[in-house]
Amino acid sequence: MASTAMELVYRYVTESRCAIDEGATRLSLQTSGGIAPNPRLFEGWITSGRPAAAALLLLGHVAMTRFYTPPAMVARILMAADPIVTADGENVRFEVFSPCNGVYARLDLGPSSLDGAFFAVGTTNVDFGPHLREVLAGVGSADRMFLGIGPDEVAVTTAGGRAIERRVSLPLRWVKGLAEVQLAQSRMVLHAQLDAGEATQFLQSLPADPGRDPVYVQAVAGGLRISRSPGGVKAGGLERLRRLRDLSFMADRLRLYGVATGDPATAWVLDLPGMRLHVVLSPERARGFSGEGAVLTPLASGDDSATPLAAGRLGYDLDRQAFFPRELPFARGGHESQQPRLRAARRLVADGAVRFLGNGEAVVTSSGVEHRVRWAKDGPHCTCPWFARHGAGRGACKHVLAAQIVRA
Amino acid sequence: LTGDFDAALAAGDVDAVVAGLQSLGEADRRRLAPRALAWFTELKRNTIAVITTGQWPYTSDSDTLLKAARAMVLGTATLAELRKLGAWAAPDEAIAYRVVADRRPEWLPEWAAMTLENQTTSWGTPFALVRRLIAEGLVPRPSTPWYPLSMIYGLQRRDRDVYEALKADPALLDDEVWRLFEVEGGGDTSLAAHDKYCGERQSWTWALLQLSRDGLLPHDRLLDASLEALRRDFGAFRAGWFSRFHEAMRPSPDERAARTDRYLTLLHSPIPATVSFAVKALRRAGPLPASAVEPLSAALRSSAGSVVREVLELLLPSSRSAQLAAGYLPHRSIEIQTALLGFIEKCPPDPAVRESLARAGSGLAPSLSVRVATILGAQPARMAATAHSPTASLAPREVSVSDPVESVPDLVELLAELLEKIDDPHDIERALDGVARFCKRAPETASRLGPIAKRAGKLLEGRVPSPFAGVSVRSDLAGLITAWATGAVAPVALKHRSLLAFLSGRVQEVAARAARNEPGVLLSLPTGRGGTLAADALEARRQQAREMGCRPDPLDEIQAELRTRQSSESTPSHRFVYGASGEAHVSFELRPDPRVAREPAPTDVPALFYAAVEGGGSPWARPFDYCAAMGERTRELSEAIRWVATVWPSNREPFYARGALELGGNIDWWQARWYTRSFLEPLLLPTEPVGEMATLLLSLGLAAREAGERGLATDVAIAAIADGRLDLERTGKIIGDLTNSRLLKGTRLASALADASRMSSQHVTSVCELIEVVLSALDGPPPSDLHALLSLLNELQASLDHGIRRPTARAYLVGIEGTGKAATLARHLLARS
Repeated sequence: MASTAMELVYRYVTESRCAIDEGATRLSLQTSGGIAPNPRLFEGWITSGRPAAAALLLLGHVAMTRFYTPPAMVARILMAADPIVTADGENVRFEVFSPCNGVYARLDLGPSSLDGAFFAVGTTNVDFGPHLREVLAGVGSADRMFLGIGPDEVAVTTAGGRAIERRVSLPLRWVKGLAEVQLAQSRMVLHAQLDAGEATQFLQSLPADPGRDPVYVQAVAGGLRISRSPGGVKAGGLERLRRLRDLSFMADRLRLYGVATGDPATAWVLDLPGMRLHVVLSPERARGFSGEGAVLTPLASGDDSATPLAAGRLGYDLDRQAFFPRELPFARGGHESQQPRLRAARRLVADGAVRFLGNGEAVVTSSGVEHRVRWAKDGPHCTCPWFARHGAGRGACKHVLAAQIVRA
Repeated sequence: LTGDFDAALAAGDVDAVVAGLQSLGEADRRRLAPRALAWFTELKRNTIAVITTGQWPYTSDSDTLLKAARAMVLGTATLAELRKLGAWAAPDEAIAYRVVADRRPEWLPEWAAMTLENQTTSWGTPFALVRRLIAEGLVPRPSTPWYPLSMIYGLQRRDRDVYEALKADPALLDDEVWRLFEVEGGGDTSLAAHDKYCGERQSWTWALLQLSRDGLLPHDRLLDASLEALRRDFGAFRAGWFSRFHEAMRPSPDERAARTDRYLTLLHSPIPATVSFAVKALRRAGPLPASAVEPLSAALRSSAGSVVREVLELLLPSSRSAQLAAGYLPHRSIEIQTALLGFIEKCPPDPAVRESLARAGSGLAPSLSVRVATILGAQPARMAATAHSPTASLAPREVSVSDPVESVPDLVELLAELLEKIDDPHDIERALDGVARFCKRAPETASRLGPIAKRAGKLLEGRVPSPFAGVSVRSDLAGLITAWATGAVAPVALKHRSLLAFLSGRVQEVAARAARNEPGVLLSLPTGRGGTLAADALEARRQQAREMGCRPDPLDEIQAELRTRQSSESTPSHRFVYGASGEAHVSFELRPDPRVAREPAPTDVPALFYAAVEGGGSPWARPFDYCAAMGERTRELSEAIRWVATVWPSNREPFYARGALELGGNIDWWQARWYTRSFLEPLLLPTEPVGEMATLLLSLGLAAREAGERGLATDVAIAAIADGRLDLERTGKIIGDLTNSRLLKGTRLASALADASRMSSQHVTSVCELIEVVLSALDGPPPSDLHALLSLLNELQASLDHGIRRPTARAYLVGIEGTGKAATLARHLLARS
């Protein structure tokens, strides 16, 4: 049986610091891993301190929150992964993924909000401890913020022997989910766009408990409304957006992206002064991104473009509708071995369990039953319970994957 | 050596085990470890197994044996091995102390930290043990947060409260007590949880206050520590203890003034209660510096009107504060918008304020448009906040049904899907029709049926009840598949008499046909959504059946006839009597009139519908339920209700009556009945008439507590208004009557109607009219939450620029006296009229 977790070791030169002094906030984020053990990526001013601080606080919240705890799980909070930051010479992007794999958030600081120098291009982890969040909460609306990503000489010198090492057992499903969420975004289209007032009204109207079934978000006069009958964008677990309410008063615009057809993952992009906050929600609160299986078919068919995505080397920018490169700052190999369905499909192929009939159908023998795989107008169909429950909404079943491997 | 320990372990002699271990070095202990671990694992397995098997293969009891085994494990295992075994392997504190104090492994500090984490609960903690190890210099103070957390429940005893325990160990006051302000805890391990469930004298709050009064804990430091704790990212429940504790310390105005900056920082807290606490503290702190304007404004985002009003009282009117207040204007609460605008009006005019006001435009309440326009120097008409289209742009609703299945592969996939989930009752009918037509058992068909036959067999083996019993649609379908695959129909153990039993009977007919290997025609397959069947389609099927030489099944004949009936042909045999009664606890009642006095025949479907509404006092009523297992399986109940809705499509009034009975009896959601909303679904059909029972169900749904029920009822109201199906007079009268009996909550109703009014100007007009009818139907003193409906009416009429039109509604408003919210709004409405 393959391992279900990987041990991630963060080694920071010292802890990140944040201080407010005479109206200026100084945020020094320490880094670990990526292009160097402790890379120094950026130093400079963020012009709108308060929105940046509030957005970073939200990222800190998402990174630590299990929005869903399975009923059988002992109420023990898993160690959360630290945020990932990418500097590309023009933008700085902070990314977090909730421990329950259901909420992905990214803050993009663009050229209009950054005034400083890039020292390197790359991706790394940043230390984002509770003490940092305490100070960020106090950043005022008129403050600018000085942002340093990576240890400067002072930090290295003064840290002496106080390096910080933290070990996190990172579930592989977390890593898989992080890849799946990028692919989910790449299939989304813009459905609605709200101005500042409409965005505030909508975010404030989100109920704490909207019920357990998915809802439909409809565009109406004055913004969006939540409907229970089909029409609009299907969405699940909208209560997870409630944390955006505090940011809504600073926002210029809120955009809703959703998939045209299929399962209802949604993305919400909040435009703040000079920066953008992306929040992507899984189709249901109790359903993380890790099992969506969208990378399975391309991986099974040997599509080269799927490998960097499955390895986490690509992020997706909804605003530009394009992937951007980023190498996850932790080692991850054997992408196929971490996909149980694909492993099972390969075993079926190796066991000779797949044969094709004259009519083009495949017969896949599994657990003493002959499943039929046939290719219909909307894609491959199977007679197994997995396909009956989920259709193609969560990626192909192992029988379809096995047939695809043999057919290829 | 092993033999001595074996005897001690087998006898459960813990003293012998501990004494035997005392003379051993680490090498000897490690040699004994495999045997100790194996014995402990065996004991653990048998201790669990005895619960189910009742067999205990030892002479001594499990407690005695485990005590000795745990001591042996602790005395021989490595830290990694102990970590793997978890809390199960932890000996009693006294024994653990004896073993580790003697063994003194180098990993003792890590073991102490692990023990604190694994064994800290509200029932008991290892704090005393670890404290003893610290006191004797065996371990340093653990840095783990579980150390102070374990102290929360670890100090008190039956004969000693927290205060006395802290006084007895004053060293705790130097360090451990302060660390309590730095750790959050979780579950039942926190200061908030402890103090919630204990008497005042046993609480930590009381103990710390008393120690402060005794001069043993510095007052200032406690005040600061509680504020520092509130700055941390603690959850709302656990943060609440620190704000309550801070107030319980009764800080003087000077002490508060010295902490103004800290209170201001707390205004950014994501916890509403902490923001409210900080605002109240600042009010008591005396005059604030001018620099407080910026941080103070952060609290204007609060959704609590009282907090916003308090902040506005603290803010001095200035251009800057007006600009900041204007940024928060698009608040959802009209009350807060009014307060913010009132403040802005007091401030000197400023271009930046006007810019913020213009930016907030789309989020502003229509009733404020004139005042905002005055500030902007614009025409009020340009400030209209709701730019409605004249008619609703509803999402197209499905009116046609999917085509019949065309092949065996399609049918097999459809059946496979229905075994897992049934989203559309029409798919059940398509499956029945498909099996009726394609049920010839050719070898290729049998092979293709393999996977679903296996799945059906598994479902029938498990918890799903036996098929065709009128209990579960899915077990009926599993029985159908099994009959087709094997040629044998499962016998029915117990046939319930209910509407679902009638449908089960239909499935059984098709299953029997499949078992006989005799394809035929299903007459009753609907041709329209909602279950309707076109008469010409039925005639064509009869003709086809004659040509095939097959005789239609009897229940299929009944069903086909019901589905082709026109609404004009359905003469109701009963009407319904309903209402709410009670004072403290209002209950909803509904029954058929005349009462259903006798047991209907199993095939008398219309009578079964009325009997399903018959309630208490009829000992036979329950079997006539839609599903004999009502209330047991939510998802299957929803599926059953949706299918039952298609049985008699020309008269769904008794169906809606049953829905109203379910929803009205659970309007405050005291029981999770997720299936209830399914009764509302047919009302979304554009052709569905909204009769009295449908209106009653809709009215109850609009005021339901559960968001899904209320949301779906709102969707129905939107659709019915757009289609011209909603009788506003009847709806308003029913809502008014139910409001008079205190069954409906005005706030929920207003929220649903406000949502519906956002669709189009047609909806705005209809909702206005509806509320006026409701007001006309009210009698007696106004309900306490009438202001919610009046506020909505005020906003809608402001956007339409007209006043109350109905004299009876005006008369009711005139009668509302006093200075409350409802009276103020009534005066506004009357003034506009």
